[in-house]
Amino acid sequence: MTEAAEMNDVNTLKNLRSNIKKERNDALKDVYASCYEYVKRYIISNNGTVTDAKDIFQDAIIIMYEKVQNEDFKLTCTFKTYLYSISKNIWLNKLRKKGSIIQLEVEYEEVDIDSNALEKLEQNELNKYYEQLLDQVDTESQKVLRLYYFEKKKMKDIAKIMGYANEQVAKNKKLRSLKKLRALLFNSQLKYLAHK
Amino acid sequence: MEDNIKKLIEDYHDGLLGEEDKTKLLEMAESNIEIMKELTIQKHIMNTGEYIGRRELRLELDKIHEELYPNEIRTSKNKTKYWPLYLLLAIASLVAAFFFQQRNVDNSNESLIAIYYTPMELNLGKRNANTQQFKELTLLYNANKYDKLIAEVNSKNVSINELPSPILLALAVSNIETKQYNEALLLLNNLESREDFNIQDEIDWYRSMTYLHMNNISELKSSLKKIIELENHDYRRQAIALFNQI
Repeated sequence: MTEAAEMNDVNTLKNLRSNIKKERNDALKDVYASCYEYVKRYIISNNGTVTDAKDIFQDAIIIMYEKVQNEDFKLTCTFKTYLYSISKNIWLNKLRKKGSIIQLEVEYEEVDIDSNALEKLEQNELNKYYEQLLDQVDTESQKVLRLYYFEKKKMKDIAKIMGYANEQVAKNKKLRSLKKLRALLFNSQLKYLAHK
Repeated sequence: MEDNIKKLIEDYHDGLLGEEDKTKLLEMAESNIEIMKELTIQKHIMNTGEYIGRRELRLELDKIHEELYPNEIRTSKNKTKYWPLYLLLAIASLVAAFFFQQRNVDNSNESLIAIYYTPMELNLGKRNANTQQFKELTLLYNANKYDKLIAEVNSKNVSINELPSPILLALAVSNIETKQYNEALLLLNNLESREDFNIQDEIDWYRSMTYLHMNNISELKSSLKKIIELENHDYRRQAIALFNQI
């Protein structure tokens, strides 16, 4: 990686973790604009369509984004290479499932992705269930849950992002959101969930 | 349930527990249905939070995509809505193609080659330009001595893997020039497997040019289609024009 590219990626990494929405969005847009065409080229060259390319690339960004939120995450190559590798792996997985792997030109396993992470991105029964559940949860609670579980934000950051007076208010909001969700889970299909 | 157990379960899902505590907790859960229930509930609370995040992020990415590639989205979303327009355009294209063909019946692939094909220019980067061996190959290429360039590479028994990507591309073009099309395709495939982002567009274009020289229209069409589908491809404009003429 050249020094300039490295600096650029360090900056992108910082902005993807930023509490400021604009910085985060700009970083996402930069990553999108610089990598999408390469992934699209790969997918189209390997029996995919433009729609496949868009879906696969967005799955890769989501996986990358979740990994980046972990403070221990260190980028060992450029974002472009990283996203390209994740996209390839996802596409290989899909083709494997469809049984058309033989037609692929190259095997590529540079970045490992957790099969669990792929499953979470699929339109499965469990995700449909969560979607129904969330219809009964207010927007503010959803935001707090997202910040805590998905963005892995600390309570003081959640307070800042949500505009709460202090960390304690954020903690109380989180507890209230959890209480609401817990009640919904208990009341609905706990037995069903226990087997998932 | 005791608060310390709840905290233990929360830490377990947050990945904060050590191996010993994890094993202890899972053993406790096996013999205590309440702990098992709490483990399940907390797992799904965490999953729900992550699900919200992924769902929202997907929406944000869709917006970014629409902003960066407006034509791509519009094409796929409004296909059904504007079908009469598409039908009309298709008919118009057929009529235009018919007249075009009438006018260009003698449009052989030689004339298309003359219009669309030019050997690339070879300028090596500073690092490669300092190597004497690459300097010689560059000189031969730029002097249109394609046969000699191929012979030079073969005589020195150079492994193609050792050649920098621009030289390898020049070698592929030299093979097109000397009508060794299958060799050219092999070299282009080799280049593609290097995943050098800087010359991907050239690889696509010279692959199409190889098929054009071979008069292999079906492969030419499919290679041009790939270029056309990439909005920012350097050769997209030429690819569209050529596609419309074959």
